[in-house]
Amino acid sequence: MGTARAGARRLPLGLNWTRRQALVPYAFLLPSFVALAVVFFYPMLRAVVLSFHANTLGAGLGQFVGLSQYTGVLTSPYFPRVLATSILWTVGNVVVVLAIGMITALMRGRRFPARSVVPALFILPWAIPYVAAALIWGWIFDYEFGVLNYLAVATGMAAHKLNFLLGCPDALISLTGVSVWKLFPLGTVMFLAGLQTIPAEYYEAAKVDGAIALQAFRYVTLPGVRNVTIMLTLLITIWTFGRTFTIIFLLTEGGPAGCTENIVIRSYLEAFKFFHIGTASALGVIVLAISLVFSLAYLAYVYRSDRRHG
Amino acid sequence: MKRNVARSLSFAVLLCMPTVLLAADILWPSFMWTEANNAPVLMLLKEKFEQDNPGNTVKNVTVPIAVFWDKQFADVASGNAADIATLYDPDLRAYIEADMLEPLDNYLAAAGISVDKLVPTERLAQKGGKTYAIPYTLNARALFYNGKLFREAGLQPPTNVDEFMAAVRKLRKPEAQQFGYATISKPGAANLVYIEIMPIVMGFGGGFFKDGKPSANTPETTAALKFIKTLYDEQLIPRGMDTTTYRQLFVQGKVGMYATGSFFAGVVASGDKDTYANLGARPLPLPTDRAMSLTAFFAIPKGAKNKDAAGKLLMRLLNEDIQASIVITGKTYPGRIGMVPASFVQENPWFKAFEQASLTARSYAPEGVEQYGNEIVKIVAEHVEAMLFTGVSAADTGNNLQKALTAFMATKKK
Repeated sequence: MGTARAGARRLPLGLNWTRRQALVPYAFLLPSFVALAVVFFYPMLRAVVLSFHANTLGAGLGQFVGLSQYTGVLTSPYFPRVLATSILWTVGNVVVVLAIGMITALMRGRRFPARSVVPALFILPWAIPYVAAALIWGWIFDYEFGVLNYLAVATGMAAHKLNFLLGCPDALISLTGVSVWKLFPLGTVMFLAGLQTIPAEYYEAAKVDGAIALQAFRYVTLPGVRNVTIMLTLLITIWTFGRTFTIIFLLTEGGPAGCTENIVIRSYLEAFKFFHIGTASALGVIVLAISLVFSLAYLAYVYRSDRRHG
Repeated sequence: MKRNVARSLSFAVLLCMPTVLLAADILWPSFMWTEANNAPVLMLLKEKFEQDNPGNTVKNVTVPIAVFWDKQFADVASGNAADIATLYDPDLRAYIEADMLEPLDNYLAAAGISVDKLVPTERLAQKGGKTYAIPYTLNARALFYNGKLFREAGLQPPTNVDEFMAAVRKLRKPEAQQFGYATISKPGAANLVYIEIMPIVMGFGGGFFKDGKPSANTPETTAALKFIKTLYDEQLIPRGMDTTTYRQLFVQGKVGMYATGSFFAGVVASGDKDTYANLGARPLPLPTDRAMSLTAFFAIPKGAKNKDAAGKLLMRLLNEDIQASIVITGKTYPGRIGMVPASFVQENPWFKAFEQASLTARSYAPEGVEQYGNEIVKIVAEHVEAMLFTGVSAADTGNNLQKALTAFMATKKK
């Protein structure tokens, strides 16, 4: 009797119990939504608005210029170059992270000396902050005093010092190496998880059919980690295309001669060095649009995968 | 009784009102507040100003230089400008052209300071007959040399290009990681690349702009580019090294010569007494005596909240005591002409070269198009990097630059 009365009682805000229960998930989401709205959605919206206005140094919006900022960026002499660098950088990162991630994950299953220590070493780069990693690699690559050049010359591997950060495409390759070094532990961990879902019977069946190791890899392992590979590819693409700044900025600032300047670095230069807020915003929106394509592909894949697995 | 107390309190509040209304907390964020050569000068200014203007305070906020310029721009662009802005040559012009700064003429007139008493680069702070900033320090470039290394090599400080190259070659000792000369040879940081090469380009009589028109492939500019390329190709300068590191090499006695501003003597003095004792300076031994300068200006942004107090503070900076402190403590030429104490030059003979250069030096900002300085700096630095790191010849670099700068200027005429 008492319980029924309580259930029928109107709760604060005039909500009955059922409605209140229905609102609980939204109440839990509210703090995250507010935080995202303030630090993510509002700046994004503001960037879109700024991209339709003229560059101005002062507070407030410049004159409305429609799509001029976009046409200016797309027809500028630098845009094809920074876009090509961004694509090369992304492809390089994705391919090498996938390859090293797969190799290291497969190594985990083999017996070799110091097998228990190696996984910890593989994870180490992931744990080092980007700024620290960039500064360390800056010294490693240093032409005059860097350890790589010292070893290369001392061991006779190179007749003279190498231009790790002083040549093109040398600098882009070196920076890709640093980025891959930071990212491959993610690939290792994800591939390890993927490999553990492949039943051992598949390999036994392949062995019975006379498959050699390479064939087992081709027809059992690769299809078995297909989902992981697709997910990893999309994630790394999104991260490296639109979010790479620290390593490039700290090591080369886009040089030499613009060789490592990607869209993100250019956007920073336009905003903070040339005071072109509208142009920088247009570049940011272009990066957002390209990243959105990959993000949608990622979401579509996750959605289809969820449906497939009930 | 209660009524009397209330009346007394109201009266007291009214009496205090003018002081409260006039009192100002001048917000001055800067990287200079912790710099060895600038901090004592600015702290002295703060102390003197607060003594002279009771109730007013200078709120000194240290912002690391790595983020200072971005933060200053973000503050101005978001309508939260501080009371004092720090600006170097091209940025100053960009701010003036965008009408972001407060004219200082009334404050200068009230302080009885005429603009022609300021260093020549002050013209950068003027537009339409108005003055928008005051020069704090002028860093004209001259050549520092380590007298000890020269004596050990049996050399005299160079007086022309040939002697300079001969000294650079003789002082280079790869096994001891010793260099005859140091300048930028690290990719990126376009502004640093530009600032480091401009003393040489100007010393050869060249420049990338003249009267607002590109002049990157004149014989003088090409000769300067060729000179820089030779230094790099022959590995006579440290490769891929940032400014901080090779400056440190000079301090440690590993570099024979370095062209920079007089402030660097302060860095040497605090870094290595032996190197400082052997420190000499002379004008750059290049075909012309044209010197380059970099001026640190202070200005009041239009969005500043305490303009009048900030104006008074900047005028206090131009007083003799602070100007002398800039020379003695900061080891730099100050904003006002004729403020260098004679005793300082006697005790520091190396300063003569900088004093001489300061009175004739030209700004490193591209002549006639200073407001586009940062974009031009980026274009020039990219081409110079291509020359150093990808093997483009000096002549081709000049021609490529001329085309790129002409195309760039065409976009500005639209």
